[in-house]
Amino acid sequence: MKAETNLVNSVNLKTNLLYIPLVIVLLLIPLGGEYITYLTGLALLFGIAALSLNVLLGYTGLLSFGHALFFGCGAYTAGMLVKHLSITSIEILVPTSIITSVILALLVGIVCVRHTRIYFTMLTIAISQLFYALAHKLRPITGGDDGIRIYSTHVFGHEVASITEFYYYILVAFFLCLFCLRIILRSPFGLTLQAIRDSELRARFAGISIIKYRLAAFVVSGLFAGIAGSMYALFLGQISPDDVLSVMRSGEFVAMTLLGGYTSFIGPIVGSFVFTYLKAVISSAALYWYLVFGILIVSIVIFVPTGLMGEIEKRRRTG
Amino acid sequence: MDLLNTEALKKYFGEVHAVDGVSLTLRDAELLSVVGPNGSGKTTLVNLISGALKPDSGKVYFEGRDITGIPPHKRVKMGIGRSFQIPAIYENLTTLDSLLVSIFSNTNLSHVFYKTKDKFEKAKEEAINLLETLNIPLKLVGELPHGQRKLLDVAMALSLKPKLILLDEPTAGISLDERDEVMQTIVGFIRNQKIAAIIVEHDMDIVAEYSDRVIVMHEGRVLKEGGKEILDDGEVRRILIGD
Amino acid sequence: MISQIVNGLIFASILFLVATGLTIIFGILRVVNFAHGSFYLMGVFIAYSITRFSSEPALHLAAPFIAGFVAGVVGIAFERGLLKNVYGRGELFELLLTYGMIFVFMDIFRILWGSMPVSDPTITFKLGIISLGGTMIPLYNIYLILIAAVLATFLWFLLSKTKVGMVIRATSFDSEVTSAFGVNVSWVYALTFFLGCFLAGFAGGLMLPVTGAWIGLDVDMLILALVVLVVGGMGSIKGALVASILIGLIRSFGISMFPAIELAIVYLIMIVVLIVKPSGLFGGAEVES
Ligand SMILES: Nc1ncnc2c1ncn2[C@@H]1O[C@H](COP(=O)(O)OP(=O)(O)O)[C@@H](O)[C@H]1O
Ligand SMILES: [Mg+2]
Repeated sequence: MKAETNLVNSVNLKTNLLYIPLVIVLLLIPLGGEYITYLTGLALLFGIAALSLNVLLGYTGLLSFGHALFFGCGAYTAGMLVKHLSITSIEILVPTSIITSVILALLVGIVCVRHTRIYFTMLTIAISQLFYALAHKLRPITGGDDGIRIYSTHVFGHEVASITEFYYYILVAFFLCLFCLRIILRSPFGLTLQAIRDSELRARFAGISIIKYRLAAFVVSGLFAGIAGSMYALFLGQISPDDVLSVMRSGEFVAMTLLGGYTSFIGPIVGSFVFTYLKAVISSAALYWYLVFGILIVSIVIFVPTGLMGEIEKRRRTG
Repeated sequence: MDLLNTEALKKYFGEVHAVDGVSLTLRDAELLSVVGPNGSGKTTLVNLISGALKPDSGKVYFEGRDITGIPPHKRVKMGIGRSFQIPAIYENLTTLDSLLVSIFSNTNLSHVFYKTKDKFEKAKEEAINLLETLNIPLKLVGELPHGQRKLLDVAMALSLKPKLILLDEPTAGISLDERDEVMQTIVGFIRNQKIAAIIVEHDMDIVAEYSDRVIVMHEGRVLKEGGKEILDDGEVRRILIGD
Repeated sequence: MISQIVNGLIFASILFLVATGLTIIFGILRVVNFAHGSFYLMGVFIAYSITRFSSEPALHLAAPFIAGFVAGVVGIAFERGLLKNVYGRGELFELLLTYGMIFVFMDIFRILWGSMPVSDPTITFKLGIISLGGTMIPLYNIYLILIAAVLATFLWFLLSKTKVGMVIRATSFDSEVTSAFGVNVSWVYALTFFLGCFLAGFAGGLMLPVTGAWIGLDVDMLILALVVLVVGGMGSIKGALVASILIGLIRSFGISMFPAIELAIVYLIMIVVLIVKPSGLFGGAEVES
């Protein structure tokens, strides 16, 4: 009688306890040195972004190839506040990014969620490319292709002194996002999204307003991507259209989600970690990262379409 | 007052007159069977009543209210449920969750937060009861055999506690010896809950056994309407057998 | 003015060839080939390698055809060897597979041709310049536009007047029924991929003397071809023609009139079309409800 219901009320404690060692490892990461800390920080941020993408891909059944738009919206909100208004406090920057991302996601979502399948995908590409092109060209506002540099950030008046310190802020944000998304996706709302994904027709005749739910999913997805982008800008101290707004970045989020497994809640995080470390290792060895990346995607699509976590969960189920 | 009225409903697909001026009425808790050869417009009629399609002309009244322009998900909330000829079910959910989706939607609980824990428990109990009544196992939907897929489709409609349910060939694809049991289960439940139903059905034995009233459709029109005895009418038999 | 029109038409011709390949593949396999820009880039690089052998104009004129052929063969290999494995799993996986191939190709190009831009305008010099209403235009540019027009006509003829075309169209309509009539659907798919990738590679070869190639052009070209695909209507060759000319001219005039936002305008058009008429200017009935 496994998998009776997917709702949060029935989640057993044991699976949650399994995460404790992982949490401890994440807390101890700074012992591995600055570079490892930096990479893990990135992986966590990309993890949030991929997780938020999966609200659409895995749970709602919509493939967005423009998710960098919301990551970039968060990043540019922070960047432009720093550049134009010299605001450097994380506690102002991140919430403002949330607001702008939600507004943007609402506006873009209203347009996008009326469409599904390839039409949805194409729309997300087109809209994100529009903003990408604008970020490139509106140099006085966005800094053009050079982007924006952020030299210092503050938390409640205290200047963030090290990568390690920032890493812990990221860790906090990560667990907050993880917690919120888990509640959202394991709620009746999340269940309804999955129902819409599996049969839009049936969901409509279960009295569900499809568009409203898709829009809500789109906004949730944009919101968390915005948080990730905002922290990314501050963590890196530098953003540019190609880095945070490009279709390549969107594609990486898709790839991470696919790699870790879109059928699993934590799949995208696993994907983002594997992706980020692998990329670092291969690029530093001066090997052909893109070749590896491409072959990885192709192999996953052909051999393990449900990704690493999907495969693990399948094995666990079948014994 | 009648529960449902349709007034000269028309739906053409190009040259095809799928539904061509159908007027019918249905009383509370009445069980109406719709029979007719393939392509006679039965599914289209169900689509027009449930709101899946907009009629070219004509009106649909539910509890005296004109619902012709109302979108399907709102008709559901008013109390019109339906099942599909090809089951529309959630392949990757469990049977329990499938029903919960309907129940949450119907009780406006599909939010991020459970209003209260006992509301959730109540919904779950309700869903489990319905599954037990209809003999549907607790399983992943993708693992159900065909007969139970059809049944689950019906169950999802029933869990909405509709006043009217539209069943489009609930026994299609189910083996002859299982059919009666399935229909008995469904009709038993419908009778028990005093739900009105329009059932599209091919199996004449089942129609004869379970309906209060029958309409025979042919080329988009109602050819005959009446009690079960019209099934023995010569013209009706010719049309149905010519199928 | 005239030079802008000619530039716009060159760009339109190239876009048309690339996007038509994309649209044919979509029309028949229902797959949006994200690697299509890579086949274009492959075409430029192959033409570059061919033209290393000599500066003989005939060779330079033949290079795009050879490049197209090679791209077509690689396309078949890709379709038969990889893409075939995911048919029936849904468009998500087909899309992602072609997406992954972008990166595979990208590094293969880097290994084979290096990271520096390549170009070879020899043929443009050899053919010389003509005067068009007082504006000097390279003859090669006129040739390029004409050959694209010839190819467009040929494609129209192939698809609408020949038996091969009939089979292809039947397959796009309903592959199951078609196979029931004894047509080998696998071969239609392979042939379609050959044709689609040939067009992309050929277009790339044609552009060697004009813009040349660099890594990154693959994605740029893909995105513009997607714009054309969407605006024209997915699966419609007529639509690809009209949309290519539209986008080509907008870009050409846009670059000189409002250089800052010419690309933004192109994307805006795509968005508006997707919102107002998702099936595109020349697509059939609305594809989704
Ligand atoms: N969406 C549609 N588009 C075009 N024709 C349709 C459509 N739906 C039904 N039809 C046509 O309308 C007629 C009635 O179909 P239907 O209502 O499905 O019949 P039944 O359910 O009685 O077999 C048939 O000729 C069918 O081909
Ligand atoms: Mg029918």
